[in-house]
Amino acid sequence: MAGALNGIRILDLSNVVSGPMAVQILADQGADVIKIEQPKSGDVSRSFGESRGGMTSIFAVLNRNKRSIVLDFKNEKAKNIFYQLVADADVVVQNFRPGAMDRMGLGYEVLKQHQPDIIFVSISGYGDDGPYAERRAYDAMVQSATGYADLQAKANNGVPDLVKNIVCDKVSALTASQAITAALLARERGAGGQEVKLSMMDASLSFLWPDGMWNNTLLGEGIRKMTPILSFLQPTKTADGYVTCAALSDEEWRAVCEGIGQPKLATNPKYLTLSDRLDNWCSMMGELADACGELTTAEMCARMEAADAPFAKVTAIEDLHEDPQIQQQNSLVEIDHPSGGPMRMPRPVAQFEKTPSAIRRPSPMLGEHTNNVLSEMGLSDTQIAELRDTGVIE
Amino acid sequence: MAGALEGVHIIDLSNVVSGPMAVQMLADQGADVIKVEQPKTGDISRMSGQERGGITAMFAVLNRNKRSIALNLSEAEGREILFDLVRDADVIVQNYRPGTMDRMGIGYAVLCKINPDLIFASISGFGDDGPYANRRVYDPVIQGVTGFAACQAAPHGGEPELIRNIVCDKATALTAAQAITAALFARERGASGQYIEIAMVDSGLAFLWPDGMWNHTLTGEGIRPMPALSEAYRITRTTDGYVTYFCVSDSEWQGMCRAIEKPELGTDPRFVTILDRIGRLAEIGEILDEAVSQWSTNDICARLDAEEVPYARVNALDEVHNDPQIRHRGSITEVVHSKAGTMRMPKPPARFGETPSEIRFEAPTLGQHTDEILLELGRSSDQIGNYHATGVVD
Repeated sequence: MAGALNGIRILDLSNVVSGPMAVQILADQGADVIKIEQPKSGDVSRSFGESRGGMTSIFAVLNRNKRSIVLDFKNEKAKNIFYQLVADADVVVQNFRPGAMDRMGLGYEVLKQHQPDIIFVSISGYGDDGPYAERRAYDAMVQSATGYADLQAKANNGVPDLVKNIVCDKVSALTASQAITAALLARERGAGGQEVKLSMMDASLSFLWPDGMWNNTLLGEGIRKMTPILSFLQPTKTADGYVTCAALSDEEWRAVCEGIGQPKLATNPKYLTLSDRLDNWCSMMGELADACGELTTAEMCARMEAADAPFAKVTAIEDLHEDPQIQQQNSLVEIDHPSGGPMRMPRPVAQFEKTPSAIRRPSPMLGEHTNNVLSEMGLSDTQIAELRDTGVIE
Repeated sequence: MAGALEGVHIIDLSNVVSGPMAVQMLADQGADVIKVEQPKTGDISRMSGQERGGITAMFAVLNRNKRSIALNLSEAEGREILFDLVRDADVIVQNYRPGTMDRMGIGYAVLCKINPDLIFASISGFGDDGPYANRRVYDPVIQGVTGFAACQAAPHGGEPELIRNIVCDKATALTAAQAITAALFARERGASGQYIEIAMVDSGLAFLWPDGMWNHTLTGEGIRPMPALSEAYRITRTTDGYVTYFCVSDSEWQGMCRAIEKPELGTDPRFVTILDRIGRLAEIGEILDEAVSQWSTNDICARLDAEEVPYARVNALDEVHNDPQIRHRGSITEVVHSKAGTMRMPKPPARFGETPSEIRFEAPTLGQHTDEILLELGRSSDQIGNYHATGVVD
């Protein structure tokens, strides 16, 4: 059975994470992806992170199921090759700084002359205009501007901190992959091609808002306030490690009290209803910490499990692949990359009954498929050799 | 112009965040969504968070553009009404614990007989089976299991910490929204309806992996090492606030050195190449923190801006909507809810050229559209009166 996006061709001009990760999700679902990279260095993510055999781990995860060709857009011939690719493509994805594609002669207005049905997707840091539009945007910058860093402030001293993974880049990737799929669906139903733009800033605001900004949503007077979310999201120390625990419903709260061996807490009027617990969350977490501190993580987990309380052990990152549930679900796969060697990565997330996603090919070396793609386009070996000699391709 | 998902009918049986947020994205894109809630209490997020006039902030953000019917699915007549809804639907989304829908007699096996083209999206914490499958799950539980909490620890043996927003719930929501859209696309091209399983544990792993696990992707020997992202991620105190910066390339590094009036550092042999700097992240961090802390936030931001160093001011939560770029882009909108009053929320982040997303109507009160939807299903006023009297609907 083919993947859900089988038959779709995507040209991926994007770099680093936001674009490549968006496209990787679509590639996993069966889209035919040609990644177009610049000569010599290629995608920036080829040069940072742990590596072996010239393959970095981050590139290997985000560019599986893609073919790589190298085109030097400083050369007009490379642009012509690109226009020819566009004529047969469904989607173009790019995350250069605003205006860069237009300046290279590769903007939407030009490309739709070659393919009126093209879906042209631009991912930027801060949007096309405005005071920050030209700024270099890395994840940490967007986290700081959009509230992630403030929300991550240490509970005890209020000093802001960053989320220590590139959450804004990745949120933008997921948002973009959905938007691209929605545009494909609309086109299938008659909407034609179109330009889709999103900024990391907007995607990050939308992601943070529901819970992160729940005390900054309602404006004006007469508002019932709410405990800040940071007091909900704290791990609890055990005698030898950490667990996390959360209880919203009365039933879950009773289960937690039983799990920590304090059944009487369940009838304490301070914590009786959800709104009591929300009002007294900090002292409730304190009770929890007191009870957990005496027990080992294994003991805590066994008790919580028996009581059917929402809890988990905090797993160290080097132990993730040994977690019994992760193993049982086959959530992680091990592949042997021809250059990078053995590696471990998550499988495609959504499990489709009829249109399964799959890891069909490993992430390419730079320009690995230049010849292959150009041959498919009908260029002869001599023509390809000439393009290579003149530095148009690599 | 209509949204990209105009004409798609979705039944949303889900609660809290993972399901409702997935569906909200599709609703913003024009899907017609009927939210089926249990009588009396409804979605649990109706009770959590800042509230006014019976509407919580989080519910208002995640359930805009949906209609609500309060339906008692433990009554046979309630299930009949659901079956009637399913006959006309394209998608059903649920996030009960595994097996719950089957036990209620409304599982996929039953519903796909009623409508073979139905896309049935099932979101769970840990997947349908395995040792944790029946555990109760909230976001901190998944953050604990999938490495988010471990990654958030300070470098070199710090204590684990949680990300203070419900990142795993929301990453699952984005993943599910894309998967549902992909299944709709595949169906448009001839695939039938299908079952899609999305586990939070898998969504969390896939989201964290590219960067969070970049030192745990390659297995075996011969690996060129790399510091964890947490070693490079820092917030720096100014005389009156906080900034963050991230200089990767040589030109960014030299710009940074000029900005802090230490141009000699830019040619210091200890820090010449990216690899030199990566090897001395802690040392560089201390030097830069010391220098940056001499300036006010405004002053250092102006200096970093002039030198094109990637930087950002750290906005407090109540400053985010006032950020000049966010204002300029109109990323955040103020809406007036008829019950809850004025509120602020982000606009749909992906901006489609031809099929615009929009906030069309406000989040419903519990059962606000029960009668309207029953009339659409052809029920008479008498029947509807009876349903109310016998507690089938609310």
